[in-house]
Amino acid sequence: MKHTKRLLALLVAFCLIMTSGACSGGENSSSQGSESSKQEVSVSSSEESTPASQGPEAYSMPICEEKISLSLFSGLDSKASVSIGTMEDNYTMQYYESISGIHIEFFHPSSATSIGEALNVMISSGEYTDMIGSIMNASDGPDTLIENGVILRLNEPIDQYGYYLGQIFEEYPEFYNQVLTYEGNIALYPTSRLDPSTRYFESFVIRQDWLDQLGLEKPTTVDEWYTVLKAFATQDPNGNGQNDELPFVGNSNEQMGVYRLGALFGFNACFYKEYACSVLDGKITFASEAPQFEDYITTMARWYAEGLIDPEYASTDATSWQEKVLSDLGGCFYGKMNGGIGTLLGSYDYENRDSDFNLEPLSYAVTDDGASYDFYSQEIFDQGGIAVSTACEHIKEAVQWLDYMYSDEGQIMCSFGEEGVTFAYDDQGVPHYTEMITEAENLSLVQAIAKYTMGGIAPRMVNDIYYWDAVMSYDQQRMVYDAVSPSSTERKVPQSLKYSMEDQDRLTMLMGDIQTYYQETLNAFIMGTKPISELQDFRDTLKSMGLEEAIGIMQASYDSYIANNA
Amino acid sequence: MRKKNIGRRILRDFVFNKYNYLLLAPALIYYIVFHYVPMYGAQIAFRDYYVTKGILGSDWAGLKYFEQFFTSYYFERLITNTVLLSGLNILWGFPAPILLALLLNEVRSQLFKKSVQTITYLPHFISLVVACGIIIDFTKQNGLINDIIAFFGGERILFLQSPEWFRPVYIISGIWQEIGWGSIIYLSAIAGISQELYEAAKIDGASRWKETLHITIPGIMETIIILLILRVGKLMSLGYEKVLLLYNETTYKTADIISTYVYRRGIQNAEYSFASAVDLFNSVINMALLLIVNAISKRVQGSSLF
Repeated sequence: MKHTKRLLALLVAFCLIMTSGACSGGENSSSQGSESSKQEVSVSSSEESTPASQGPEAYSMPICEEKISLSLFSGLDSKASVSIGTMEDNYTMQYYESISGIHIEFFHPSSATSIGEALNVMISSGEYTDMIGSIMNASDGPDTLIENGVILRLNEPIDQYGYYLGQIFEEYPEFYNQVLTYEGNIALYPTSRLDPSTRYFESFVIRQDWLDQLGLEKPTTVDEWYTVLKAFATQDPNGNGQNDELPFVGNSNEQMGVYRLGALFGFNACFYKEYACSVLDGKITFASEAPQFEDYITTMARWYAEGLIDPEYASTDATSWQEKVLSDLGGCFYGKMNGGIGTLLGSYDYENRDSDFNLEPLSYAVTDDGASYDFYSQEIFDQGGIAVSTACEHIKEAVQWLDYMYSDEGQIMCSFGEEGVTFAYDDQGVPHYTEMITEAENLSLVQAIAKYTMGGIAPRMVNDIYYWDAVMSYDQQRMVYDAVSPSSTERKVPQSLKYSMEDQDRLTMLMGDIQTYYQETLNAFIMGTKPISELQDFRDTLKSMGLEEAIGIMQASYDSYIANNA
Repeated sequence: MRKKNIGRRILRDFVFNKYNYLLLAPALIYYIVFHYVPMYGAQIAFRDYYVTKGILGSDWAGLKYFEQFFTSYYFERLITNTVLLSGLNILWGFPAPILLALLLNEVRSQLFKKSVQTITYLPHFISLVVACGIIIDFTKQNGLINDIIAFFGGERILFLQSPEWFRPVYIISGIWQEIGWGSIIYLSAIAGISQELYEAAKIDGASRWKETLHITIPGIMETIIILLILRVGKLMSLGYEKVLLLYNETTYKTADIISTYVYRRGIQNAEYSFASAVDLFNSVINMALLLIVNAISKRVQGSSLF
């Protein structure tokens, strides 16, 4: 049975190649050609309808003999929306449609509402698209969505039809564990970062030209950080004769501010990252309970008082933060590889400013125990993906349509499009975008990529390393991986901790007020409006707000996570 | 027999005034669609709401979420901040347009009057996001206001990172935004006062000041009272947008109000039931305030909403 099906599949592929080859040679237009090929295919593969009983079956394009249409709820990336109004106009989506026989009708929420809100509205309306992107942004967790009949449990469909994802799961068992929900469901086709280097894209960044000018090395310990920042503050590296440098600049977004500096001390102080928790000696530990916390706030308060931290960091927005860096005031900050280093290097006014503006990533500082710790790299499963809803009548086709994007060809197709049109391979077999994209008028490179391919935008499944390479314009961006990846991730709370519905609700509820209290008090400590001597009071108050119960919930989940991955 | 008459009279009224009713329709529809129908959803404050289960399908939770709010660490601070910010805003912000209207009324040069009016109206038409951007730029450490302070030898102040400065910044910028727009209604009320009263006063030898005191102000008192009732009725429902745009963690102490708290918990953390409970509580207080002020005004002044 299995053999005959393989044969059949081969035959189908053969037919397809023959017909399309014949057409391109003849006078028929290519659209007619693809129609006729599909007819033949429909005849030959109609016998192939019984699903395999064991293990996913290999399949080939087209997925459907007769063209079908599936609807997909998916955010339209801002990189794409500058040139196209819907992903249906995206060249690669059209190409994928032509080879798969599946038309995707996109439902893009308006960019004015958040994707989570739009998703909640759709879910509560009871009318779903066949496939739903960004499902993790819904207010109800994946298990609740499955239980209440919004989306399908995909474990079985993937076993049956998910040929490529099944292989990936076998190759990366930790990925499989990350994707499983609390109840053991697979709720979505997960987007992934298979190549380790795609999991690192943020770091501390420093003005390397200032370091060079002052004859300093990149700081590797907190003490060296202090020396460097102090030198920035006092030795006038921007050379304008004023002490107007802001050695460390942050902004009001907690992800870009002084919270990140906790990592230098070996714990996580960022609330957005697993509720400001770290794993210390196998125990989930809230930031304020970490032994390093006192050292951290004392140091920060000192730096702030000495002007080593931008005094206005809490009320600075992203735009004026960028301005400070670009006008030679900021010396060090936390930033993203593309949005930070790449953008800033690209928009600096080299002609009118008298400096060798250069930004380079920094490694995390080595702590007292001789190791450095990373809390902010990503896992393979990056919490995104596409679910299949209960409204879908073509489950097999939908799953295979998603699954193909996990194949080697599918990955390249997503990020690079059609060979010979939007990309070409070089001698080493590395894909490169053609001039159609690199020379696109009025569009930046990433915008052009998003117009013609799915590089870097939904609904592609895999963060492709070749795509990353292609969009990095500066060597300094490539240095991020080497700077950050050697740090240990053992203290990082896994992103994919799972909770039952009740636990999740309780945790969210408890953490709501804790977040407010933690963030405002931490800032007060740093800015000196609250003396460090009140630390115990701070800890006691957090306890009275139910911190221990919340950490208990997380600890239980962490313990079972460890047991599953042992 | 009488009943039939009333029915017929209503019908006749409709027929006679059909165009008036037509004019009323859009406003009526607006209120039904956006203010009455959504009340049905307020019940999620008493339920464990899940989007997938729907409003009617979610289980009843009783007063659980109200209890959570009343026992919340921030309950007192939120109430205090809301009442204080709103109360001070009324105290300073409410009389401002009245004063402007009275002053403008005394201006005889039309050109000057019109210029002042146009200039003071303008900020009202600036989008709130932009207006707050302007406020942030002006109050920066190296912004205009701090430059002026430094010029006179003062210390630069981090206005938006000091809890004690949040309310002044909020209220003063509020006056800047709304003073011109708010004065329109008073100017029109003043225009409605009979000129004969002023002529009579002049004959009696009243000065301009006396005219203002005894004719203009009493003439617009009714308007003032009604607007004040409405304003106090909204005491607790201070819009979250402006606070959200101006506050940050360092100013939570004075800036965090009920509506921003609801925004953070309800929209950002998606705790819909909890946020609804808080907002419902807020609305009940508002309603009570409105009734109280209305009753006081009825007794003291004789003018009221209903």
